[in-house]
Amino acid sequence: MAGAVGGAPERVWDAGLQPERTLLAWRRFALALAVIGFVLLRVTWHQLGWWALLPSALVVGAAMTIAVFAERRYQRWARTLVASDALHNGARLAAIAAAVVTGLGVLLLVLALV
Amino acid sequence: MTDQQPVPPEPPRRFPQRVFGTGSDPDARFTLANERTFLAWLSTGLALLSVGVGLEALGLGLQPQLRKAASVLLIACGIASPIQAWFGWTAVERAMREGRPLPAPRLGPWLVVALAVIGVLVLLGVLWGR
Repeated sequence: MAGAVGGAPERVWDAGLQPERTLLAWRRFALALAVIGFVLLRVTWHQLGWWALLPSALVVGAAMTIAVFAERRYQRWARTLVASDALHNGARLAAIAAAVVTGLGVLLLVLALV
Repeated sequence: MTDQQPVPPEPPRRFPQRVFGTGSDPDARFTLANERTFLAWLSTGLALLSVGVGLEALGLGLQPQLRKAASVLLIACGIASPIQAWFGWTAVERAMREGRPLPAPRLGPWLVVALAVIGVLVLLGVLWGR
């Protein structure tokens, strides 16, 4: 079912369930990011004190936002794939996700070197 | 104005135009596979960052300078991974849209070398540690 996850059952668009597997990959990524966001608080507390709340909240917030947008994206795909075999995808969410991980890495690098 | 035919609405512009402005949509399954590859690189980056930070946080009795070097290099690899994720995605998507052979991940070999160096640093850190 193209609406296999969370939607009304429709005919199978892809027997390999690629859209569903992509959604699951996004969910895994968002989950890992959220966990790291929480652990970040513990890890940066020593150097940043109460300021550690800021990067931690940003990362956890980003993880939840990414999760929500990934679900909506999947629902849109499910509709357009069944309707027109086309994806009409864009890469804004991907760019944001890559920027979050890069920013997190830069923060950790600065904290490691300072 | 005497327009005979209504102009069909433009499909919404897709980001980035550098990718979607050329060629034509490939089979959606290839695009989805490309996206999963992108996410795999991102997750790799998160894992490398976690190990880099964990190494410093846990100490593990490694020689301090070697441990620090390994940790910093791991974090650097963790920064390189999302960069590879994005540029790898755009390069592959463009190649698919234009019907060209797919490029290999440019940063891949460098990451392999860096991971080997990190392994050596950790090994020496263990041998010269407490």
